[in-house]
Amino acid sequence: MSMSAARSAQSAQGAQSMPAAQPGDHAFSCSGLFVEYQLRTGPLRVLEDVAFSCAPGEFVSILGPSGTGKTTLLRILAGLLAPGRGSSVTFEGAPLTGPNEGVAIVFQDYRSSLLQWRTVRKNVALGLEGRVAAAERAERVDAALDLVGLSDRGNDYPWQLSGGMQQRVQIARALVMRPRVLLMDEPFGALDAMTKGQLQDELLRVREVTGATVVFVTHDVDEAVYLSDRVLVLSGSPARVTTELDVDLPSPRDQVATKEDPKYLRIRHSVYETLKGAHQ
Amino acid sequence: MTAGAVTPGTEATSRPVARRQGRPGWRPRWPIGLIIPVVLVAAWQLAKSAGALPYANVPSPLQIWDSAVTLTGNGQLPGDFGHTLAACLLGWVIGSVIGAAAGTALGLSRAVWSYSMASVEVLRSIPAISFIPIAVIIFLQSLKMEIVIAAWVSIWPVAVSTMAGVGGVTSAHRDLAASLRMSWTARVTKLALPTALPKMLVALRLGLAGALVLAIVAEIVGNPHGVGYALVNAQQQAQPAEMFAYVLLTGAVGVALNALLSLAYRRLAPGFHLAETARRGHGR
Repeated sequence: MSMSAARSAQSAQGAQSMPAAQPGDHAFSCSGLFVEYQLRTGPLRVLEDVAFSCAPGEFVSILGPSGTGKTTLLRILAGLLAPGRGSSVTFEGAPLTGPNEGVAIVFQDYRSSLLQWRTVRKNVALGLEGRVAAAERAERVDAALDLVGLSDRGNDYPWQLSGGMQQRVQIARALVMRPRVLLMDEPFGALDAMTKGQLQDELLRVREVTGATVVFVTHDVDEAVYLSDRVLVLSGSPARVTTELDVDLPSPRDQVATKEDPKYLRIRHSVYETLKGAHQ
Repeated sequence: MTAGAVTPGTEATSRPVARRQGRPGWRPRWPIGLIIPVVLVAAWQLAKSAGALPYANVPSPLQIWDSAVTLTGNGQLPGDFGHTLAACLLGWVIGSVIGAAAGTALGLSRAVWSYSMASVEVLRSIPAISFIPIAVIIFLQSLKMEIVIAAWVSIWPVAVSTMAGVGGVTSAHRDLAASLRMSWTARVTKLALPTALPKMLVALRLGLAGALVLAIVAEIVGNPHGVGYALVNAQQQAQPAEMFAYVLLTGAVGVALNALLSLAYRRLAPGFHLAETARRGHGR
């Protein structure tokens, strides 16, 4: 694709930065989704008959024990991995064929995902280079860094930052693209409990500001219930969505009050019950 | 905890301990490195003056210095070094560009690799020196011949390390590039080449050293110009002081070129340089 084509596609998108989804459209929708890895010993089916959809603006967590295929599912939604032939996966009503404009990913391992030789600013700007003029790029990078509280660290290198800050850089790199959907793969899994809580609240605030749809993969039950509008439990081998739970907790959520809310405890309880059942 | 991790407040008291244990960042200040050469040169001069040197044709350091001053004064030495450096640097730049391009193609394209790698292995195994007689036949006794030889020797290390480097783009970065829908050009210039750069720097140094050697050898056996021919000439006229002046200056030029290259790397690619320093510091 030529540079100018990329640029005009971007500016067309910039003119209407809000989601173009029609009422009733889903951000993602999949049915009969399966994935098989070809191993030397034969095909290994990882996901089987996965079906779910998520509405624009919704915060959906995909919860399950490690090794169930959560990351595989997220990679399919990201367009990084093709699902098995015959699976149906759509993004905003159209069949998903590859990485989509308007979808940004935050990877699990911030250290290997950031470019260690670029400053924080240049890491955040990466996706805009060659598509957005320098002045607008600087503005958008400033705004994204501001949103994650890293305005004063723009000229540092990633390895000069703490783990939590590096993950913020990755979130800023995703936000600068003005995504309609954020895909997050256990983004806080490697962080200590305090930083994790802090970033969870920042994520909820960012989502409030941007109105983005979030699909959040985690193996942490509390995290899933605390953050989400809806929790999908992925379990079994091959895995499928075994349970869907609506989390009708009030917003904004609070690390102390929400987690003491009897409703929160009830939902948390039933998620644990589901997971226990799946293991027997 | 080792003494390397002292807090700033206790620095003054724990410094001797740190030094004894060889703190990783510790380096002797540079004049210390001059002690040995100065002592050696002084011993050489004394031995020569006392008539204790068994070889009559080995000049004294002072004679070498005098001859270097004379040769500089009459313009012969700067002219010869100018010629040799021009051949070496031009050849090195041309060879490095070709090597980087070839290495990128080899590292990124399975097809290019499959078709070309056997030829690359054969060509780079042939000692570059053995091409000089052939180069003289083709390009005659010219500066061009020297440049071609210097370029030839620079191509291979750069090509092989660039190939290994661009092939080292991690799956995390490939996923990132795909999700940001980066163009092929952007993937090469923003991910593959930066990934390869530290390896390429090592190769660029090897290539530069090789280019200087080959330029001089090409002048000794091929093109009668520059430092190489000056050495041959001085030998035939039995001027050992001149020969030593040329040889020692060549060493100094090699050191200077290497230092310039390191400086350029630090200035032009600060992110790499700093990231490597940090990794070395933490990775104990």
